[in-house]
Amino acid sequence: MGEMFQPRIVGFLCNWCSYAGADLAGANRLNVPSSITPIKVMCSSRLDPTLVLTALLRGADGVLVAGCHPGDCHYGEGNYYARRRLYLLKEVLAALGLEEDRLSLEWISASEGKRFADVASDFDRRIRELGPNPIRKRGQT
Amino acid sequence: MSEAPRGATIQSEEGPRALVPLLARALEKGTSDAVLLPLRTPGQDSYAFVLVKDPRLLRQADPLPPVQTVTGGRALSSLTRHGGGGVRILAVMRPCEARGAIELSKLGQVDLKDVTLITMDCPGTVPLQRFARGDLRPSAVGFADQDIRPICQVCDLSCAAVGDLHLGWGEGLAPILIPMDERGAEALLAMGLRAEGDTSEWRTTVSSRSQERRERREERLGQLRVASSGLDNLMVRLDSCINCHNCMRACPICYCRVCAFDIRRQERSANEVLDLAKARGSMRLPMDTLMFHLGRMNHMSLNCVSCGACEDACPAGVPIAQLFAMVSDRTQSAFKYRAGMDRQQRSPLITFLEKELEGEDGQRC
Ligand code: SF4
Ligand code: SF4
Ligand code: SF4
Ligand code: FES
Repeated sequence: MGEMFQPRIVGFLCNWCSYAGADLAGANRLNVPSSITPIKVMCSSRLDPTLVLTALLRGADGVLVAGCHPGDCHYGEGNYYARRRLYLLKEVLAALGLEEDRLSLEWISASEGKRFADVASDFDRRIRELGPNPIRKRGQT
Repeated sequence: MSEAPRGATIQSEEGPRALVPLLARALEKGTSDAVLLPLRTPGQDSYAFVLVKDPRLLRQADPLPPVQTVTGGRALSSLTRHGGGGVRILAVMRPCEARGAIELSKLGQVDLKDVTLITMDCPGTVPLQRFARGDLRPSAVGFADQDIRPICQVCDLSCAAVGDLHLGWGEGLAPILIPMDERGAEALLAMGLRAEGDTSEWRTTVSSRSQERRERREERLGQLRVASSGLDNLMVRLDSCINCHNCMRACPICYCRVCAFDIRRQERSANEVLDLAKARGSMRLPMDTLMFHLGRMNHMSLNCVSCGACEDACPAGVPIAQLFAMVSDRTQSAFKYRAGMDRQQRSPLITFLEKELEGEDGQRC
């Protein structure tokens, strides 16, 4: 591969916390990797893991899901369910040797602009280390 | 159960068929309204689950047929999905089928309120396709390890007493009927039997058999894991899949009327596909093979009971039940859950603990 690998990362961010956190990071002009495409969801538990799977199978190099800290979910307990669901998806991927590290769940509050920038940069770095999603080169899925 | 259960020894040479006259007696006594169990079909060469009212028809019954046709959980679901309506049923099936019924009851697809589940030690079943071709006739099925399905060969729960009443008889033991709870005890009474016998011989036999099977399961599924790990290897396993989705339709757990992974729900525009083909060099159509299998594993591997119905239904020789077993063993143990084993334990995705799943470094997910 001649050109530098530019990861494509889908970020599913909870409206009440992480999305606002991402906003704050922008307002404070913190460095946020451009590889992340943010998608707003109303709660981390509103995200159907099937969408995460779809993103990965359609060639996303990484999926970052971010929600409110435990105890802080706007709807009470959504993030606890989200944690189980995504953990399950990770276990399925891991059982099949399918690079479960391309999926990450993080807790980021609305006031944690700095934390959003750090988490995003760190995830971007880990995905760069992993390299492109091998599915991008496959004609058979 | 804290105390070791006691059982009723049955004087019979017939193994599981010893159940038949007992079921007839319970039916005649009127403590149950009907028996649901596998019967030889009129053509004599297959089996089906039948709801029997007339005790005389039980003569065609074979509580433990050599093949699995429709699974017992499925049959029970078709009967009680909208509620059992107070009909008292004795439902006779293999442990994996009963576990399917139990999972389905947690999913609101089976009503166990008036059902007495009767299970028995299971020697396995032969592959449906071999049976249907006529390679193996009912009388010729000996349940030797090389004849039974690969998924049966690694079944460590073949003697799981998940029913209210369980018939122990494997490995040459005299049949012994063991009530596992109050309801099982009532059924036993209706059969005119008393649980006075010692069950220690059965328990020792079962625990050593399960241990052997557990070891074999780990070994074989471990080999499969090595052979199927990673995108390339996994696609080799799934190569011959013809996207017929039979595996989903035959699965007792997949009850959705419309599957989220139906091909028609995922069609993309020709231009989109062309773009993909351009980027990748080529594109196999339809494109949903991996999505379908991974999606199902994500939807129901926590509830998979390793019954093998999917693999029996696969026309293309995909070792789909073994792949599911490999995945579900991992996902279920991650949530300390074993599908169909504990009626009280809630299905993992509808509950949570406040502190869990966070690794040492603060994030495991
Ligand atoms: S996936 Fe296969 S083995 Fe698992 S419950 Fe469904 S049919 Fe049985
Ligand atoms: S894979 Fe999911 S949507 Fe499809 S039938 Fe099974 S449980 Fe339903
Ligand atoms: S695995 Fe077998 S049964 Fe399932 S869709 Fe593929 S070919 Fe059909
Ligand atoms: S509202 Fe943010 S995770 Fe539920």
